[in-house]
Parts: sequence; structure tokens; C-alpha cells
Amino acid sequence: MSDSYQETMNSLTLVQGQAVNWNNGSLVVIAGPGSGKTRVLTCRIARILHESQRDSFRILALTFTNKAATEMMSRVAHLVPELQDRTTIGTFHSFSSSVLRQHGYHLGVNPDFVIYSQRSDRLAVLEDALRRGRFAHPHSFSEQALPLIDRLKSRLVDVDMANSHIRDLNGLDRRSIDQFTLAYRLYEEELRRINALDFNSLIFYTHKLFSTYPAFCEHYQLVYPHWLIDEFQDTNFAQYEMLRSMAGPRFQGIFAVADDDQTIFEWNGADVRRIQAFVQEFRCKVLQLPTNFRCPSSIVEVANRLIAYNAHRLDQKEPATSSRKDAETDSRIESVVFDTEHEEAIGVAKMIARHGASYLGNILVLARNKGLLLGVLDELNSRRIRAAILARKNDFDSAQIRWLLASLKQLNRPLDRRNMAVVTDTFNSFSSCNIDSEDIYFGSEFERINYIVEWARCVRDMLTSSPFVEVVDLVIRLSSGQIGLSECVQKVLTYFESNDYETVKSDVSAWRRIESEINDSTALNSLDRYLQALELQSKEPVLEEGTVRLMTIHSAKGLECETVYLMGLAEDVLPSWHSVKKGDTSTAMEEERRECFVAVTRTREHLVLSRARCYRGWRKRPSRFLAEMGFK
Amino acid sequence: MRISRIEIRNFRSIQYLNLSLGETTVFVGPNNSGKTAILDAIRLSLPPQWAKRRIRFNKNDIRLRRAGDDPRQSDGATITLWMTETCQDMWPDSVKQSLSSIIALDAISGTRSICFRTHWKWNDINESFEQITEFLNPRGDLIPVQNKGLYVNRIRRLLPVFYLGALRDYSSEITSRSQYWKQLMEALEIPKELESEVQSTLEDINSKLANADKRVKDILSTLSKSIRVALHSQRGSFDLRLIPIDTRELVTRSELILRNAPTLPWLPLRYQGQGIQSLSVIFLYQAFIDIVLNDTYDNSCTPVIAIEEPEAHLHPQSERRLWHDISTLNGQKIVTTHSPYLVQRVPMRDLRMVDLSSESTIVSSLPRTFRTEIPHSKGIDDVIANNPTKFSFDRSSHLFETTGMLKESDYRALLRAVGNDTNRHIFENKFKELRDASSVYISDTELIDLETFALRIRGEILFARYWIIVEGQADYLVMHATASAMGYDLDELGVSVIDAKNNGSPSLFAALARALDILWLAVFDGDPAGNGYRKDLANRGFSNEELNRRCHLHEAGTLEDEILSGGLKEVVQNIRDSSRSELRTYDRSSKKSTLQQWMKKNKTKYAACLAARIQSDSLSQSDFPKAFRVAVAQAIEEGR
Repeated sequence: MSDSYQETMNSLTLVQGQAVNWNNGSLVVIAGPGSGKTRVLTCRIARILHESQRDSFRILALTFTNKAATEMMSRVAHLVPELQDRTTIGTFHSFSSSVLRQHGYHLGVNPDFVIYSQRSDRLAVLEDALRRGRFAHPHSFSEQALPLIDRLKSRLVDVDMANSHIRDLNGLDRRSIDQFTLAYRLYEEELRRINALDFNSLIFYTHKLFSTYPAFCEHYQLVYPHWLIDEFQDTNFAQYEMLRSMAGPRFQGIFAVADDDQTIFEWNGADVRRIQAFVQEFRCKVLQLPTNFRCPSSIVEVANRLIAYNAHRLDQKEPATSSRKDAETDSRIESVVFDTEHEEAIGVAKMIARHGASYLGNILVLARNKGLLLGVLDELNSRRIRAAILARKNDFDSAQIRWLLASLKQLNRPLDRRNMAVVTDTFNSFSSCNIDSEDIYFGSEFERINYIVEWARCVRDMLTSSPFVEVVDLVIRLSSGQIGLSECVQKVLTYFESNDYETVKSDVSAWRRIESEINDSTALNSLDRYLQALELQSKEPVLEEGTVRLMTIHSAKGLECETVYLMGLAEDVLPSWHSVKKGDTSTAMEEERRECFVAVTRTREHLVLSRARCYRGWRKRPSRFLAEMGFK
Repeated sequence: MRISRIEIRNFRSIQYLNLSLGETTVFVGPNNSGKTAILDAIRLSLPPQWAKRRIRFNKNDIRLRRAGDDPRQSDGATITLWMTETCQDMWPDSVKQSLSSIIALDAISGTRSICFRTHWKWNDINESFEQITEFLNPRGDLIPVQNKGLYVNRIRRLLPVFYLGALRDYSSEITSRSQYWKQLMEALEIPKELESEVQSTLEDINSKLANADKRVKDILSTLSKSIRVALHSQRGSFDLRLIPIDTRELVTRSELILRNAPTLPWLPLRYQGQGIQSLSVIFLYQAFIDIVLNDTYDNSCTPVIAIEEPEAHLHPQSERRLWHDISTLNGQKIVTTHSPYLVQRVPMRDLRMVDLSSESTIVSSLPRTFRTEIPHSKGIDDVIANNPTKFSFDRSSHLFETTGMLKESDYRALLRAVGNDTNRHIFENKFKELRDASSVYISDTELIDLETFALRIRGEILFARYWIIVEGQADYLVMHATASAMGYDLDELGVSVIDAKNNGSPSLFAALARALDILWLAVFDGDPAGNGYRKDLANRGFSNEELNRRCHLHEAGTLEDEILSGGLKEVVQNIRDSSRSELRTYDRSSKKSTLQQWMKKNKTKYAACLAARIQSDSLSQSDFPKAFRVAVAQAIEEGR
């Protein structure tokens, strides 16, 4: 037993301890901001593992982001070293992906499927599918059809049931309905043909597996008698249905941590009412963790006042209290006003500049939309203050690193023509090559060699003395087994790292970060597993120390920071024009209020609320949220 | 958990084998036919982690297409093991949980299975033979597994293999150097107090012995000079250890002693007979498995006990008993044997007959089920739903299984159910193959008959290469006499003559021969009974053409009719006369009977005498029944 285990257990509050030691069926823990939910989750995992060292069952923990999963995993490993092998900690998507790789063959899903996460890839798949189906305008129609297909899949609508669902949509004529239905069918067939799944398919098929064959529910419940779900409030329809299908009617081992007031993903299918439905359906007990250990009391009060304006909250929700009482003299919150959004950007940048270089890493700038952040970013950059906008990235930015990824994929799936085109095009764009992928297909069939080998031959012919030939040779040597995966990747990365372009450098740093976060120790020995791990991770680069972080409120979920700047507190900005139009009591307005609540409660010490009188040339009134929080 | 199936490819004499394994499986076959290769295949894929003397893969283990081929150029050798639950909760929960990442589920029944493959192939980069392990789903796709090595170790831990070779030597098995004995003794728990008490007693005894003769001291002081010379040290010294240095060593040096009766002296086991030594090694394993396994492994482990020729050096009575002892060992037993006495007791379904054809090792058995791979069909699902005990279909592996024979009517019903499917021709071919393959099926009731009536001969005939099936004991004797007259010794040639009426039914033996790939022929009386036997054979699915070749009838009618119509009539008359003179006093009834009636009443008697006379009188082979002569010639010819 590690000392930190006992220490951490002893440091839990009464109610946290109650949650950690809960043994009485399913439980929902309502955990307000800063209430120590991650601590409760990790301690609970550690506690169960610690008490069952002779057992073999596993614990399943589902988080909202890979980052949260990595964090949870390292905390568990710290608390109960050597027992963390008995956990599966990941996102809904990574868990689904592992279920399908192991059991998906029952639904015709091959274990070695690839995941298409990027919109551009998926559009290309749909376009190909439509072309096969002899659609008149495959390119333009694919742009139209993809959002609809995504909507159907996220509602778990099967291809066979699609027609009637599309019919319920307003304003579509019969012919369009049939065309969309056919497009969906063709898209799914095309994905199957190229052995690929998109993110929605992961949840879709996992749900299908559990709902079609109850034997799998029994099996997973036996293997995983405890499921912990983080940020339950943001679970969308498909994810929730997947959980329900897995749990069947009797399962009593769910432990969900949620805060209805922090539901900010309704646009993605989350629903505040889902917590209530879940409590009823699974006969859960509810435990509240209202103590906020993060924010000073003045900020907790402000947040409480704000969120009280929402009508759709859990029954008997206790107001938050802060563990940190402010002295009368403390001024924690500052409210600033500017004339235009440009001046707001300048003003915020100036305020940040005043903090001094050593403090910059403790600053988080939040806004509802990325637009406001871009303005501040420019201003900060012009003042030579290191700053970056953080957001999930599905792909690398630089052609060099995209080429490396595509080349590795090509070695894994030598006959993938779509990917071969990426290899060719990305390489053309940073070298002086102009190879046509069609020539490669022809040449390799003629020579009876792999596409990539034929391509490398063409590169060598074209660039006799370019240093890029060296990099290409590394990949080819990997393909023939002369060097290992790790050696090849490291050498290529090192080569590109010396490159002058910032995008390449930050991609290399992102790659290295992802590699260090891959918790599958065998991935480095298997190209397939390595690529799978890369695929699911966000490709954002590593921040240098002392960088000001700029984020949308959505991506700041779960974070905390010393000083928070929340920008754009004006009507039609936060709350958005869209929600204002829906009306004061609309669910959209309530979601905006929760966003504001989330933003404010990221603060550990100081909060700055800023607004401009004018956005895009239109006068805007101060945000109603300012008044609701008690500011004039 | 146990191994339910093993598939071996390109390994030693084996080109391809796919065998089901039961709780106990017994391999029977000639020397060098590949029995040891099967056991070694299991040992190589599940090497025990604690064993010091571990079997290793060698390049010569790869089967080559032609002599002189380079094993480095070959596809390598592959051994695949399946562990399958036969009912949903056969495996303990801890196994299901700890192996969850490699388990495949039957979607409908929920039964679990694991497919574990070990592959040896030349690796050009490392310039060595590389062992690759992988887990597969029932479709044969690789299951991507994190921490594969962990699961390989878990599987090997759950299925520890204990191997006992044919050449077991007591003196090397029960010593402090032996893998089993040493661990067994080391596992003994000795309380601390006792250990220190023993320690001081040992010291005490040692010093008493050392001081018994004062010359010991002189020897030691002389020896101590060497330390001064070699190490330039004044402080080192020699001492003499007359008995083991500590308790642990004492215990591992222990040996077994035995006395046959309370009045006889105890003698170390190594002075006992070979038989008892050999047997005690087997039971040493039992003890090892019971004690060490329970300490080192949890109760979810199933030892796989591989024993070669457990009968070595044993008396037939002990050999018979041995089956009982082996089958009650705790674990999955895989046994090879050359003992008819042992085989006698083995249930027929547990037997695997191993033989070496010109190409490869082949194995035949008496399965209960037969399988074929077909596409999925809704119509077939309905047929299965109507008869779920007979048919099943696995959606993932696409295997259709029938328990027992697929009769012509079943075959037709299945094809009707397929309807006008685009794959109809596939179904037609596959079901036809299945119908033909399953025609060798022998039911449980028939096997019970065989186990009841044929107990005496069963062990022996399973070692024969050729069966001549005849009706009764007289036929048996005259058949042997015929062969002798022709100058052949049937036993020596591996031909068994089976008097089928006393041991079951003639057609059952023919069916058995077919299932076990044993060549056979039959000679029956040319009377209604004999024709009936031939008809029974036809009902078992033997074709007319085959029966014409394999089933001979006496032309004159019964065996007696045949003898009386041929050159042996006088000899038999002679036998009767001499027997009458012996029996005159009480065998009155026979006086009046004809020679034929007498023969019918004294079948065994005349046949035995006839056989005996072959040695003394030189009877011409042409005097013997023609059908027997044809049979012997055919058996000799085909058995070659």
C-alpha cells in the first residue's frame, strides 16, 4: 500500500468519503464546480481496487476527454501502484472502439477497422459513395447530406429506418427524402468497403451489439461490476442509450458524477433532464457535493446568484458554499467596459501585460466564441506575450507531419488508395516533387509492388540529391523491417524538427506529447495499435511554460486557473443572439447561463469580466448575466 | 478451463491436424506415428513457467515439403489451441474477468472461448527462429490486445503443463535435482522453532561424528594449509560436513522407502522393481500437482497432464487399474499408450488413433458431432430452431454442426430450407460432404454395447492394422488355421480376426473400422443369417461395390457346409471318431446324428482340433474354405 493512498483517503471530507465508500447500488454524485469530483472518482477507483486485491474484476471509468482519462489514470496509478492494470479508463469513444475491435465481428465489423475522425476524410468517403451511386452532383450533395447523416447516426437511426425519420424533417420533398436515405445507405456501405468507422459509428455499433445480444451485457457486467462516469451531464443521447443497453434492466453498479448546472453540450445532444431520467431509471441514490474548494466565497456567491435564474435545475439542489471565506477587503472580481470589441481586445491584452511574465501561465482567457479570442491573441502577440488558443485538433497542421502519418497508415494498409493520395499530395507540397497518385497506381500494378514502394522509387528518380530522400528511405526501411517503428518515427521527427516552420515544430511537439500519453505499452511494437492510439488523440501542441491560455468556454470544461478573464459579456454575444431570439425562458438561454456559470467558476483567485458597448458596429446592451450576478 | 481443440500445422511429421481433446484423451498408434509430436505441440505452446528443463523450439521441428528444403524459407510451424466453454458458466468468474480482453463470446449462448496461436518462423533480421503468439476471434481475425504478453502468461499460468516422458527414471525424478521432487519438498512448511531445533541437532550430530575419530582433525589441519597458500589468509579454515548443512537441504535430499509387508525390511524405492518405480513417478506428479499447484496457483488453474506410456514396466493387472488412476487425476489428461490392457478401459470416444501415412500424421476418432462451414441462411435457422439438440450454427465462425449422422432426410430438409438462395450450390456441396462425413457416426448405445461385450478384445484389435470380421468362434479358429495352412501368422502381420457375434454385431465392427481408418473385410455364412449381416452393412451406408469387395460369403452355405463340401471332410470325420471314442461313455445322443449335426453342436471343438492338426498333418491350403483363403490373401495384399 502506498502512503499516498492512506493520506489521500484521510483527507477526504465526510461527504466525499461517503461517495468514495458508497456500496449501495447506483449513485449520482451532484458535484458543483471545484467540489473535488476528480478526487472522488480516483479515490473511489483506488478504494475498490485496494479492497479487492485478490479479485480479478475490472473497473470501467468513462470520461469526456482523453486528457481527463490520462489524468485520472496517472492519479490512480499514484494511489494504488500495480493495481491500475485492472482499470479501463477512457472516453466513450475509446471504450467503444475497444469493444468493437474485440467483438464487433458479430456485427460484421473487422477488428482492424480505421477511424475516420476528420470531416474532410468523411466528406471524401461520402463523395466516393455518391459517385458509386451515380449521383448527379456528388461534391455539393455530400456537403448537404453529411450533417443529416450525422444527425441520424447520433440518434441511433439505422439505415433501414432512415426514410421515416427523414420524412419527419420539415420542408423536404419526397425525392430529397429518398436521396438522403440512399446517401446514408451508400455512405455506410462505403465505410464498410474501406473498413472504416466514423466517431458516430463507434457508439452506434456498440449500442447495437449490446442491445442485440444480451450475452455481451452479462459479460461486461461480470468483468466490470463498477462503472464510473465523469461529467455525466454532458452525455449525449447515443452515449446514454449505449450505457442503457449495456446495463440492461438490472445493473446496479453505476457511479455517475454530474452537475446539471454545467451542462454545456446541449448542441451535441446533452440534456439537463437526462440526469433526472437517469436517477429514476436506474433507481439511483443522489449525493450532493456543494462545497466549492476552488473559488473564493465572493465568486461562489456570484455564481449562485446567476444560476438561480435557471428554472430547469435538479430538484432540491443545494446552493454551493465556498470553503474559502474572503475578507471584507478582498476584491476578487473586476468588471471592465470598452467601446468596441477591438478596444476590448487591446484592453484585456494590456491588463494581462501588467501581470508580469512569471504570472502569464496562471491566466486563462475565456469567451463564448473563438472570434473574440483571435483579437486578444493578435494583441498579445504584438506585445510579445506568449499566448495560444487551445482547442481539440483532429489533424496535424503541417504537410510534413501529415505526410509522416499518412505514410505510416499506408504501410499498415498498403492497398488504401485514398490514403496514398494523401501521401503523394502532402509530400508534393513541401518538396519539389510533383507526383500524380494515378501514376503510382498504374506503375505499382505494372511492377507488382506496393503503392508506397513505387512512390518512393518515383521520389528517388525525381529528387536525386534532396535531403527528403533520406526521410523517404526511413519509411521504406521500416516497411522492409530493417528498422523498428520507434526508430523510424524518432528519426523522421528529429529531421523535421530542425525545420524552420513553426507549424512543423508544434506538430512535432504534439506528436511527442501524444506518444507519451499513449498508455498502451505495446503500441510501440505494433504499427496498427500505434496508429489507433494516434487517431483518437487530439493533435494540439504542447504549451511552453508561461503561455497565456485562450479558450472557448466549451473547451475549458474541467479546468481551473488563478486568474480568469471572461470576455464579451454583452447581449447577443453571451448570451448569444441565437438564444436571445429563442426567448428569456428558453432552454437555449438556460444553456448560455450555464456557460457563463462554468466560465466564472474556473477562477481560483481573480475574475475579470469584460464587455464592449459595441460589437461589429452594433450597440449591445450589457449582458443580462452581469445584472443577474449582481453587477450594474 | 481446458483445451478443447488443437490445430497443428507443419510441425514435425504433422502437415495438418485438427483434434478435439476431452477431459481425458488417449492416443494410440505405432511407434514414430506422431503421438509425441502432439504432446510436444502442447508443451511448446504452453511451456510451464517454473520448469527448468523446458522444451525448446528447434528448426528441425518445422515440417518441410521435401527433404533438403531450407526451414528458413518455409511458412513456419503453427500451433493453435482453443479453450471453449461447453456451457455458459463452466469457467470460474476470475478466469472470465482476468482474460476478458482475449475472450470471444458466442452471441446467442453466451459461452466463451479463447483461441491462442503460437507460430514459429524464421526472422531475417534477427537471424533466428522467432516465436509469435497471438489471440484470434472465431472468424480467425487477430484480436488487437494491449499487453499481449500479460495474457500469454496468464493463459500459460492457467494451463500449466506437466509432462512425463516414456523414459522415466525414478532415480532422476525423485532427487534433490528433480524439477518436481525438489519443489515439492521445498514447498513443505517447516515451523521456525522446529527448523532451528533441527539445525542445532544437526550441528550436534555433525560435531559428534567429526570428533569420533581424531584423524579427522589431522586431515582438516592439513587442508587448512591450502587456504594460507592460496588466499594468504590466516583466518580461513576447513570443516567437515558429514550430514546435510541445513534443514532445507536435509528435506530435499529425502527419499522414499517402501516395504511390501509389515514383516519385511524397509528398502529405498530405487531398490524396488522397475514397475513400482515407474508408477511412483506418476503419483509423484499427482502429489506435486495437488500440493505445489495449490500453493503457487489459484484454484482456477487446470493442470494439463501429458503422460507418455504410463504402463511402462507394469503387470497387465496393474495396467488395467492404471486407467482408473489416470482418469481420476485432477486436470486434463493427455496420454499416449501401447498397452491393450489400458486401452481396454478407455471409453471409445476418448481414443484417438494415430497413424503415419506417406504424407503426414493422421488421426482418427469416433466423434459425436460433425461440422462444415456454410454461409448464413434464414431458412437454415428455422431448421435449427425446430431441432436445436441436433443442429447448431455459429454465426461468427460460420460452422454448422450436426450431432450424430446427417441422414438423407435431414439433408433434403436442409436443402429445402435453403430454397433458391444464390449460394445454393455451396450449401448442396457442403451438406453432401457433411452427410458423407457423418455417415461414420457410431451412436452412444452402440459404443456402450461395444464396451460391454467387446471388452476383452477391444484393447488388442485397436492395435491391429487390419480386421477380418467373422461370425463366431469356430470361424475365428478356422480362419487362423487357414492362414497357418497358407503359411501366414495373422497376429504377426497385424491382422486381427474378430468373432463379431460374441462381441457385438458384425456391422458395428465394420463401421468402427471405417471410422478409425482401419482396413477390414468380412466373411459370413452363405445362409439367411449371413445375408442378413451383409444387409446390415448396406444399411450402414456401405455401397454395393464396396460390399462386393469386402464382404465374402461361403458358397456352400454355413461354414460346416463349406467344410463338408471340401477337402477337410475326412479330417473332420476323423476328429469326430476320435472324440467319440473318448466320450463314448456319456455322449450317446451324438451317435445317431449326422456329421453335420455333430459339427453344429461341437463348433469350437472341431475347429480347435482342426487348428491343432495343421501342425501335425500337413493339410493342403486348398482344402480350406475358399472364402477364408480369399480373405487371407486379400488382407495380406491390402495390409502391405
